Amino acid sequence: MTEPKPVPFASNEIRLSPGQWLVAVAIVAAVFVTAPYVWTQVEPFDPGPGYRLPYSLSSDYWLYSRWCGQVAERGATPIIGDSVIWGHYVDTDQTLSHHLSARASDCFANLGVDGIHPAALAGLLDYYAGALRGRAVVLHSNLLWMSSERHDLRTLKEFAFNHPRLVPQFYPDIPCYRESAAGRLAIVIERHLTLAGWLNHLEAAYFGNRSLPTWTVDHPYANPLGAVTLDLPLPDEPPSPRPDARPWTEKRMPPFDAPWVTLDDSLQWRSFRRAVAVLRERGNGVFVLMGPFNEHMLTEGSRAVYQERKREVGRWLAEQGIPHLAAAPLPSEDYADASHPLGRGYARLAERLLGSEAFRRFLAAEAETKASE
Amino acid sequence: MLFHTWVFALFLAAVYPVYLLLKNTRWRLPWLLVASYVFYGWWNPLYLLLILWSTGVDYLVVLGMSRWRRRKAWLALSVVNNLGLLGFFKYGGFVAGTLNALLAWLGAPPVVPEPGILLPVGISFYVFQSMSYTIDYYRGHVEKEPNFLRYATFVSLFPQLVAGPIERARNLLPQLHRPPRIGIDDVADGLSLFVVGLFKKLAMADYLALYVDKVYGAPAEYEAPALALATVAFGWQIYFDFSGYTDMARGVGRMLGIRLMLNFHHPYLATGLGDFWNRWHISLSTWFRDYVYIPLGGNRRGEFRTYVNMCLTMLVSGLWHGASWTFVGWGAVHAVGRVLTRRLEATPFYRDRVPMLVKRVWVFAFVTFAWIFFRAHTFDDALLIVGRLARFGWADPRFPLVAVGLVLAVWLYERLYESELRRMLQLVPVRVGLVVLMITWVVVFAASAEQPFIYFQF
Repeated sequence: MTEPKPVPFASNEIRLSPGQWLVAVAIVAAVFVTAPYVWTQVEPFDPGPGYRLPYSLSSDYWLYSRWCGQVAERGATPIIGDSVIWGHYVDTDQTLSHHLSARASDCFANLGVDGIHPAALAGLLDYYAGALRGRAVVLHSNLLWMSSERHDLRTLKEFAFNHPRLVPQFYPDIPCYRESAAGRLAIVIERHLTLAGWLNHLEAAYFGNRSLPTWTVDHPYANPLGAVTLDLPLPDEPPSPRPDARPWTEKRMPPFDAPWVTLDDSLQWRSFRRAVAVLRERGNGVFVLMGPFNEHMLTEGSRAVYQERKREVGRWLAEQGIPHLAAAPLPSEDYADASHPLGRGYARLAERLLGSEAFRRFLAAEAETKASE
Repeated sequence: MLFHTWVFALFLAAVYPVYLLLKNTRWRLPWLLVASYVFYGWWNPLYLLLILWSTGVDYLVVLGMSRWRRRKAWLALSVVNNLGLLGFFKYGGFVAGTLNALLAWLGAPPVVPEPGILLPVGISFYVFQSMSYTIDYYRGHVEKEPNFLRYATFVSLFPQLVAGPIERARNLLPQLHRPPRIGIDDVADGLSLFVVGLFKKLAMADYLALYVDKVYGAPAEYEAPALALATVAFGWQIYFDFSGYTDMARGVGRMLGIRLMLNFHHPYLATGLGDFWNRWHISLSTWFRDYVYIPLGGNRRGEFRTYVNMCLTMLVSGLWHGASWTFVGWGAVHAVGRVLTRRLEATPFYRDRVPMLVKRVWVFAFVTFAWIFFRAHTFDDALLIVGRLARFGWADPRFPLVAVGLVLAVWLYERLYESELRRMLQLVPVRVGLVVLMITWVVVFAASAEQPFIYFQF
């Protein structure tokens, strides 16, 4: 074989020696490692006691993580859950955490995320709530997520569900979740990169949840740096579209016959148990609040199945030695839909919770822990 | 498996250390071949049957040529087999659709069934690469490769398998014959090439694509300014996309101790259309020159035949890019351009008197105009865009200023590179600073990690 002709290196001068590469990598690494931490000093984030993650930042897990850190620092008791805890139909001064804080000597923090379901919640706690390590937490269990195969993410047909970046990417398989292997791998890796979370925060907080390139195409003559105002969206910003905060009865919503899935087959139930396991492995004291589901909205047969599921969950919690309260249903007019209370309902729920012996014991144990610290 | 994904990063992280361990052993080629087949089979394992078939036939053809007479018949077998594969998988639907459209125009019902087969990724590249080996052997330009594993590795080498550069046997096969010499400098060089390619793809091409896709997706909704800007943006998009892929391919090749050819050399600084084709997709341009234009007679049979040969080569090149009349139109526009300017470009007036900038602007404008036919979804869309451009209707194009700044910065870099100020770009702080900037920009500003490369569809 003849020798090949020499090949030109490139049509540019960007060619670094190994030593120059080391310098370049060191600079890049220093920038990327420090940027998120420096940012926490630059961007004001001083949430008041009634703070909750703003609706438009529901997927801003970096801010959630920062919020968790603040909650842990202040010694507030976090209440973790989905939109029931977040308060989908109410303002920040009507949420469960607000009513609890107003009625008890302890301070409660709203760590609910709108639209999150157990499969995503387990991921959220696993990857972004490490700052809560060792704290006592109230975890909400909403059986709505087991009320059908669709809620349980078990349908074969693909559909867009909330917070796909938090669900297990490879195992267990979620049949309705279609994402390329490359996409799943990227998600798994980016969960462990603070930088990726921070960049996502910038996109969520200042660029309308769009990537920077997309934002500049939508705002062709705007300066992207000018959009970074350091003013984060407010926690009272309502969901979009704005929910109809009337009782479900006024909205003429018909009762429904929920095709409940069995707990043994339920992905969401397995995920809930994973969420509990994650918390307990981190040394968190866990109190589980079940419901209160709007049983008035269920048909008679469906209500019976729901109550059976509730008992099964209660039995499991008891077996695990986890203090819990299976909240009795609120008056029908206190609900906005199948699972969300209205402001009045939250106040009533807070009173019931504080009246619960298990909850009082849980809080007392927490107070003792804090005192010993 | 796309170069700019975590999957590829993991793939390389698994393949490369083993390759380094095996590079001086007889297991080097089998390992490279397995890696290449895993890389290619990642899209669809069934594609492996095709590449194996193409590889096997061409390997046997050369064996046949070396042992028996009737070399021409063997060569014909290779050409028919390769073009048959390409014709069936790439042009089957196009031919059937065209025939049915013709029948419909004549008032007859469609009778030709459309195959409905997905185009296997990269088939146009590896088929041409494999075919060049049999032609070169027939012409006595390369020696027979007796080792099937080595030949299969030559055809399927993963860095350049799906979008080139289309390597010649005389460049690549000798490199597979000897153990590669891989030093730390090769790794650094490979990284340098890869980072530039990554920047071109993620920061530039995918970004410009957002605007281009929007406008070309519904051209009737836009006026001349947006259509003109989208066309210019597409010109840069396809350049960054394709040359970015090539840079990454060459970078990975370099890390493996393999030198792949330069495929792009500042094509938008060309001063003539002939010069453009010496700078754009060089491996394909030279392939068509060596295996189409010259066999047709090249410029050896008089001026008229030269022009005919040039036109035929450009039309075939257009068709190679895609099974659609828009690509043929693109080739035709370039053919007309070459015919009209070939003599002009050779005159002392054009060479010496026309300012460089004027020549560059003219070539860029012409090439950009031709991209309309390349990018438009249909011929009707292309004609609509040309019509709107000629009408000069005004509407705010809303083209992102950040994109303008980026393209200008790259253009300025290329100008500096080709000027006497090039030594400024060679300063260490400039080079390190540019790498840091590029990596930061890619991480912060990347449009999407999963936009496929444009040339994968060819």
